[in-house]
Order: sequence, then structure tokens, then C-alpha cells
Amino acid sequence: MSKTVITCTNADMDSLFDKRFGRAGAFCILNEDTGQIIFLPNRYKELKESAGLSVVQELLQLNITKIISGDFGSRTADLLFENKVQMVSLDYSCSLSEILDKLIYR
Amino acid sequence: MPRRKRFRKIVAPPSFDGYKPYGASINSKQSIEFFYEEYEAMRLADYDMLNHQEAAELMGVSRATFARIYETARRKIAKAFVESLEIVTVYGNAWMENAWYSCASCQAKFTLPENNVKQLCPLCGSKSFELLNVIQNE
Repeated sequence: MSKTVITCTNADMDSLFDKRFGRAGAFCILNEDTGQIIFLPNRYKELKESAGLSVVQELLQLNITKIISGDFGSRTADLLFENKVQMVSLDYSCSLSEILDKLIYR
Repeated sequence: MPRRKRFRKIVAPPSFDGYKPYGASINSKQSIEFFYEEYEAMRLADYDMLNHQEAAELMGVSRATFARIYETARRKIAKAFVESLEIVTVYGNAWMENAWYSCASCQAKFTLPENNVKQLCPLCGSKSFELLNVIQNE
């Protein structure tokens, strides 16, 4: 099963891509096998430190395989490497739906 | 003969190639070269809020070396701001523990974990991508 997480500003389809990881507004989780999409608000975004690590630990429980974001912190990236989660880093602004279109219709 | 610089570990490359000031009256062609390790130092100290000892351990350098890299980074940023200069990121003396690739088609940077059987760009599906290797700045 291939589960992809995309960081986004809000927990809805009109959201924009959020380049932040640990402090992203929400997470869009796409099951690339079935096309099912669910949203997860980021309850760690206001943490003073280690927001990224807390997010990774929650996402790992959902068996995610790939994360698309803008910037991964050092400790976050180390943890994702260890757990063989693929990281994709984008440096441009776009909407969530543009990324979903690429993933679904490529 | 100057002492050869050791490589400093970074986990991921910056997700940008540079920054340009806008609305500035100065039309300078000059730019500031911002090394990957300087970006990493600023991120660890000022974004991840680690202390210098923790950040130095993550980068595989002594605390004193970390402090020097960090200080250089801050001075470069200050110079770029005050003199309205463009900032470009270059590899510098960094090395990445794990491989990152760059897609020629959609410009995504990505990793390829060993359990990933598809050797394709994970965003656009292109087969055209290259290893983002680190080059020593002589």
C-alpha cells in the first residue's frame, strides 16, 4: 500500500501546499492505490520545539510511505530515513490540488 | 598552504536555489554565496532552536567550528540584507549522509529509500533525475 502525505495550509481540498513540515497547517493523506484522500489537522504546529519529530511519530503509525513538503528538519529527516519513508522536497508555491493531479494522473 | 577544510554533514539540501531582494534601488550584479553547511547551521540554531552543542553533534563538527560556521552565515545574511544583494546557495564543504536526487522535469528533490523499487521521480514519474552530490568548494 502506498500512502503519500502532502503538507497543506488547511484540512480541505481548496488548501495550498504548505512548505513547512512540522508547522504545516494540516496533512493530506492520499492512498495512491485506491485514490482515497483524508485530512489530518496538525495538532503539533504550535509546539515550541520538536514539532517535526512529533508529526513523524504520528504519521508513522499510519504506515505512510512518502511525504511531500518543502523543508525537512535534520532530526526529522534522520527519522524518516531510518523508517524508509521517501521524502520529496518542493521549493515552489502551488495548490494542493495541483500536486494531487500530478500524483493521480501522471 | 592553507589547511584543507573538512566536510560538514547536512541532512537535506536547501529547498531553494537562492533569494533576490525586490524593490531595491541598487542594481548590483554582486551576490552572496551561501554554503549548504551555513544554511544547515542557521536552521539548526535559529529554526529548530537547538543549542550549539546539539547542533554541532548533528553536523559532525566541534562546537567551536559550528559557532564559526553559524557566525559566517549570520554575517552573510546581514551583508545581503543591508547591501540588497542576491543570495545563491552553493554546496560549500557539506556532505549528505543519505542520497538526494533532483528531477530534471519537475525540479522536485527526493530520496530513494532502499525499499523503493520504482526508480522514478515520485512526483511526476520522470526517469530523468540526477544525484545531488556534494562538491567541495576549493
